Amino acid sequence: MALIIVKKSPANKLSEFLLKLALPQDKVIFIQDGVIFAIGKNLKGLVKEGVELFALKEDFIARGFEESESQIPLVDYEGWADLIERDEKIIS
Amino acid sequence: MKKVLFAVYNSPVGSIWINEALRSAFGMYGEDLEPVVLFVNEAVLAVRKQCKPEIIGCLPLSITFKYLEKYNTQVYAIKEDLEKYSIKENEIEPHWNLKTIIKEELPEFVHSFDKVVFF
Amino acid sequence: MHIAIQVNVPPYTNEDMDTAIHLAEVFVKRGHKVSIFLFADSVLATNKLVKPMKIDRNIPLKLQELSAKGVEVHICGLCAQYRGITEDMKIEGADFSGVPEMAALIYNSDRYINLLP
Repeated sequence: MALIIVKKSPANKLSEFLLKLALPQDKVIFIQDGVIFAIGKNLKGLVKEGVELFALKEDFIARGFEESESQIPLVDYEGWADLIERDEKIIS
Repeated sequence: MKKVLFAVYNSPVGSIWINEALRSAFGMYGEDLEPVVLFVNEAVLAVRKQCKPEIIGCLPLSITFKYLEKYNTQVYAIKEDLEKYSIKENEIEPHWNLKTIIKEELPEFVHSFDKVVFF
Repeated sequence: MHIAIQVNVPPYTNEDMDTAIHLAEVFVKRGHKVSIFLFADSVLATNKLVKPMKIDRNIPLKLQELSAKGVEVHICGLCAQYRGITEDMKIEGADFSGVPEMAALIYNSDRYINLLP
């Protein structure tokens, strides 16, 4: 199991590349401009089944979005730290 | 022995990341670490013999070759990305001792490393 | 747990130093050992001579505060030489190191968080 950190916006091809690396039971956290993914409609189609998606709340709100606009769970820095503690492997 | 992957997605010319990834990889041998380098997207342009950042005054890629040989550091490039830029096998600089990997195998490949660093 | 965070891009232009500092603060509060490895242009974040606008954050000072709380701040020495960061310019608590230290962190840390450029 790995935690994949996606920091670039959906417009950047690298983000898609990193999402495709995710295996079932991996987790993905969107940070920085990566949080723009959180408002997307077909988010589940971006990753394999069984991959959990999260977005960093501080980065999401700072970009003018309402929490209710996120299609995936928002976590704050404490929540991100929990995810880091949980998964030994970090891909970024 | 732990395995570490340095994956580069940035262009070899006009950005420093291929040089930095290789410099990092060569520095790993002081610990019980096995580094592997992977070229993704534009980074694959590095492997063509004619790719010479020194043409525009940047640091040459060739300074890494003697260390690649000394440490026998394994370098991979994504097959589909080589094809995207029409890089033929006979155009590849032999010093890279390049292996290719197909996109389908990447998730398992990347997960096989203990630590992963993208540049 | 030993948490290592690598930053690669310059402060102020990018969010990465801010991300690293926030994350380091959380892990310090949790009692973890934290090391920050500054690579390439991110070494500029250790320049104590920076003069940001008053309303803006002072990133080198924040790093110094983290260091006072026990966070190791490693500066890639060659990267610093390339960018003219000298001993007398750098913040207290940050130390010049290099790729061997990066290797040691990669080997020894429980979590290695690279913020890709």
